[in-house]
Amino acid sequence: MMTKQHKYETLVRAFHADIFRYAIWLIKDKSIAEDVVQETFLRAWKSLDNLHDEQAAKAWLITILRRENARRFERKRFDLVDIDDVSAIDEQASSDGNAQQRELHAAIEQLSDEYKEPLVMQALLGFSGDEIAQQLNLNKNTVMTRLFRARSQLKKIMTHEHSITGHANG
Amino acid sequence: MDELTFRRHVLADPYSVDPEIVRAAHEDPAKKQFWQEIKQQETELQAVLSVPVPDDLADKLLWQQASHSRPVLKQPRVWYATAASVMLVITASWIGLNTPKQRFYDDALAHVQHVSEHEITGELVSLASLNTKLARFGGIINEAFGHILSANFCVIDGVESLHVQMGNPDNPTSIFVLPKDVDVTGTLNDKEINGKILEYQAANILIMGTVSDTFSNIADHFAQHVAFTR
Repeated sequence: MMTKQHKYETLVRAFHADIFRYAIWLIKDKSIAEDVVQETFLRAWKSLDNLHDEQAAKAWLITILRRENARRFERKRFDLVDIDDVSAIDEQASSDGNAQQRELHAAIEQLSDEYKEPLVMQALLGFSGDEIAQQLNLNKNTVMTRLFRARSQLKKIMTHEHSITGHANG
Repeated sequence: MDELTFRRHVLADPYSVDPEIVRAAHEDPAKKQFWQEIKQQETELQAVLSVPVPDDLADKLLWQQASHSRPVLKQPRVWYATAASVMLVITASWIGLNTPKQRFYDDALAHVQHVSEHEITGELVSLASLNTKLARFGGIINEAFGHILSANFCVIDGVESLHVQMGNPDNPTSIFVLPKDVDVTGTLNDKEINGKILEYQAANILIMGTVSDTFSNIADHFAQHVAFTR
């Protein structure tokens, strides 16, 4: 049987990357995201005995992270971040990525939060419609509609971008 | 299946395995083409969402937890009673040393014998896993030389350290990797607890064990195979 320490270490190794990436897209600031991830895992350590279903560990951590993020605003410990001024991808990664990726990144940023959040949960975390519904306190049909609209908008934005690029180049 | 229903479905779930969706795509090349485009967009979306993660984030999280977790003695009162003889011997060995150093060794001894976080599970730690943690101190072990029973960050008298247990699970040898600024100079040799200190440019190592032969063997191998790159 795993000790608490071993269980925690397994949890950190398995999920820290996904949790950090989700935090980046949720919070939009790298250093604040890292702070919130640290708070999240510290709280997870303190509550580890409450995690009975290890299959649900990722969803459990996301729940904690969303709560920690909400608490951040309640406490007003951090300055609010103007979402127009920051990028979820750091400059290095952005400059390394190809043009298409940069366009797609900009297109994701154009989505409203109600579309972006379920999209990130599904595409990044691999959550099912039911899991997303539970996280966002929505019914599954609403979630599936938002996912449909999110990808629809992305496709439209990307098609429009390419159309403009094509005209410019032609 | 009509076009709109199909599009709604695959846009909501690009990797759907719904038999009706699969059949509709199979029967209509235009639907199949649309689905392919959405899957392609999904692959690109996943690449964009996978923003870089700081290399040391996992270690930072483990450090943070170690810093916030004070050592928990399984039976603190009993420990002082049952380990009294050992404590006396250790104290005798270190008599004349200043109090902080004595307290540090007492706490290290508590970690060796009684801290629940270091419970040996029977599952061995890989050399790669140990090296990931050693990297925090700029250290690396270039070759496996024995069973690694556990490797956990912990706090010894307020000092963040890496506690590695090796050898026989019944009488493990403890290796504490400590920051360089921790003064552990001196020698520790006794009938019951063997101690050895290795000093490197980037870190100090305190090795403690109860079985003389095993302890010496592990201490020698550790000194032979560890390197600090800072």
